[in-house]
Amino acid sequence: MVTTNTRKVMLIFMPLGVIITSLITVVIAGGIGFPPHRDLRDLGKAFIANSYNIWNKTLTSYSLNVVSAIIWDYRGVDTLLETAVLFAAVTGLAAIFRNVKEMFLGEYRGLSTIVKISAKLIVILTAIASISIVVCGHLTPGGGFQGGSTLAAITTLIIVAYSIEAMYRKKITLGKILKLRYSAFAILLLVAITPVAYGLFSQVKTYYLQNSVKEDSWFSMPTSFFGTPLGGSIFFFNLVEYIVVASSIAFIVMLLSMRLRELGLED
Amino acid sequence: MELATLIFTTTTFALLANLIIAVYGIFMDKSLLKKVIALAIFSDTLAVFAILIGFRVPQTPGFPKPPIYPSAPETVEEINKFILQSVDPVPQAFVITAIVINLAIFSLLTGFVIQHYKHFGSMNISLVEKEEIVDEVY
Repeated sequence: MVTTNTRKVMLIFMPLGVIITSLITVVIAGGIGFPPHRDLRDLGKAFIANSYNIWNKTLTSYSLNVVSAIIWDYRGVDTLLETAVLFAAVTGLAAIFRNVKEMFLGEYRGLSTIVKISAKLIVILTAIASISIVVCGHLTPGGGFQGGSTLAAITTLIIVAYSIEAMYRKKITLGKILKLRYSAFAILLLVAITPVAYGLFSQVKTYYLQNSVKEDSWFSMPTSFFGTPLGGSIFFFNLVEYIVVASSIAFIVMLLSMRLRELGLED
Repeated sequence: MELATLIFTTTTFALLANLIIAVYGIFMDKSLLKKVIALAIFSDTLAVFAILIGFRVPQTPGFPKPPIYPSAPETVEEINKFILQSVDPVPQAFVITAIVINLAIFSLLTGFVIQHYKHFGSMNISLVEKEEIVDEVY
């Protein structure tokens, strides 16, 4: 059994190694290869030119971070549906493990005192870092998803250092995290339809997910905050996406770190 | 030969090899969890590939810059100069979308794997093919 397996692996990996080595040799010796682009593609050029462009007010999004501008302004519907996919997947996970039982709050130990105290320090630092990643998501590298995943790392750290019972003693339960996620997703949709609602009440022509001024609509989300560029709806979307992603990943981590008995899988 | 071309080509081949290894893992491994890990390697390799496609050599001397303005541009010339230096932002935006969807898929797949483990007492995929074990469980 072992020999056939080894032979199979050899049969696949030996030619692969030979091919890769020979290709690299040919590339080095012959001077061929794929050169990286020198020109930017037209689409990318258009996005970079318009991301923060106060001379083209109908296309700009007042965001210094071009990637954030693409995610939440130019391709906003795409990202909204992507968040919906994450939402649906976590709902599916909650449906698979619908027999979750009450956590047995017995004695919990966790790791040693040194680990616990340093974990506390790291938790505070991580929380501050994640907030800064989100709040400056339109100015510096970062955004809602990145900050949310950073915050969710706290959950993992607490579960490892203190054990999952510690989360339940602080009244952080799966049901509460799910409720937080539902309300955050509702707020996300609310931010998306804010321009439409404004247009309905003030008889101004507005568009779904509108960020800045358009040719036939003067509605615009706030573009600056005490002189700092705010990126319009990008800032608010980042804030809400932060909560959605952080609660989703925290839910996944907490669910998958439960014992089989509490998951309802063991009789 | 230019150093940039050499590094670019070598990275492309390395990523292709990584893709082949990941596909091998997805199809040939018996353990469901290892299949999921191989799928994760596959999708992450594709993400790096997309970032590689967005790479460009700047037309001004120096390194390429990330697609983030260091400060708010005050003249049109600043924007035009930044276009000559920055890498393509579109693949990066696609990759962050892909990462979120991967997270969703893998969390769901892990749930299914745990359910499989509950039913069969093993991560082995070949147990599904044996009917008698299925009959015992239900």
